[in-house]
Amino acid sequence: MILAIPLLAHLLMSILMLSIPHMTRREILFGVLVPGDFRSTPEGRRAVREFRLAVLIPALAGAVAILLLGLRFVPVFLLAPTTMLLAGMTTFVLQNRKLRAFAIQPQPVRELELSTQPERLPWFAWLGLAPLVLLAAAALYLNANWDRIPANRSSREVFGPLIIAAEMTLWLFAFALATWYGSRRSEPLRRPAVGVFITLGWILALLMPGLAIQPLIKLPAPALVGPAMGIILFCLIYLIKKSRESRGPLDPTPNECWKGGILYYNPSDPVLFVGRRDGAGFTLNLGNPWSWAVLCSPLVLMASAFLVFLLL
Amino acid sequence: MAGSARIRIDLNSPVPATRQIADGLRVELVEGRLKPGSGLPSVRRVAMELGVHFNTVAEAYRVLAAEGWLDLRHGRGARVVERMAPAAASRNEVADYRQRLRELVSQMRARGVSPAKIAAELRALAEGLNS
Repeated sequence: MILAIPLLAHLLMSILMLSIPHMTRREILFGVLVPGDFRSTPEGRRAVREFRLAVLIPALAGAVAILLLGLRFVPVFLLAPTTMLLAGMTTFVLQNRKLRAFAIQPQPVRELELSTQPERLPWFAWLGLAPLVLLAAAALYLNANWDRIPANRSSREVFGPLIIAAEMTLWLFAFALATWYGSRRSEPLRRPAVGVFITLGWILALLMPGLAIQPLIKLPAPALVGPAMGIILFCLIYLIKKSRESRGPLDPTPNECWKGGILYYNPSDPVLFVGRRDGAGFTLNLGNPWSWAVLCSPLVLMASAFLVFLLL
Repeated sequence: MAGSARIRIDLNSPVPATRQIADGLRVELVEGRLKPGSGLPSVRRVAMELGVHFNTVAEAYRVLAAEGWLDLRHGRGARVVERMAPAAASRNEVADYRQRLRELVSQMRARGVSPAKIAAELRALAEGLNS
């Protein structure tokens, strides 16, 4: 039973890694723009086959290692998925280099409708602030029932998770705004991505109060974590589906600005987020100075969480 | 502002993006799809959508402001203004435009556009001028 969770996590990550070539629309394979029917050519099939093999071997070896060594050598829980991820990423980059010989240039023509209509956020984006109400309600409930909380629980343990959840909710909301205003209108994943960030905020808002009220109302761990994991998985599948369904002209980001098909660096392009070429969703334009602020924001979040724990 | 006003640029074109944007906007202004009083999208938004630098768009807006099409005021964005009728072009200027038209037609023929098609396009443009 102890091995079940790391084994499941490892297998889930392996499945995700194996499905990377299928997460993007047909015209993108290993981060390279290719003709729509390239995947069914011998070269396309070989590239996918080689990638699968390179992931499958460390994935299976890792699963066996977890089963055999897990109880005696705990670091294997981390080593197995890390090895598989490294193998997958390395093969991705190698396949990217190989396939560049078949790359086609993106359509260089860009068109813009000269609309001065203000950029309205989708209505559901505002739901991203609602979790704060839930967190506040949980905090008020805990405060009102402070006498019933066991004496060995400090205020840090009780309120800490709620404050951190509030910070993360705000962070996710800011991320949703940045995705909306920092990407092109023509980007088909713009709206779904905002929806996913808002949903993640809601997961936090349901999970953290659930944890915080444990001293008063015992909730079994699977009842808390199970639905959260289910929703995260659903979001992931939803994004992949939307990414695969994307139609219309491709975002004409220049091929030479993609490093290994994973990183986008184009100082001449003022956009902050562009559609990923290595999977579903968005990636940062590292040529935009704001991208570094976005990259550092999790560190700020962690530092502030640490401060909260120090001050409480 | 007419909803159908749009501009397009070709990132691979030898013509600089600033000029493509200014030319595209001028077409919309001359043909009346951008009317006096209407606003233009912000420099930031145009630059993001077209994938060009902010300065490229800002320069195109400045060119059109210098020609009297736009009013650029800090914090208010770009607005289309009523343009005073320009003085009639001199004979030299007309000759210059004629030469540029001839060059454009030659370029089209060199790229394989048939003379009949070119004539049809020119006729359509001429009819647009008369209407």
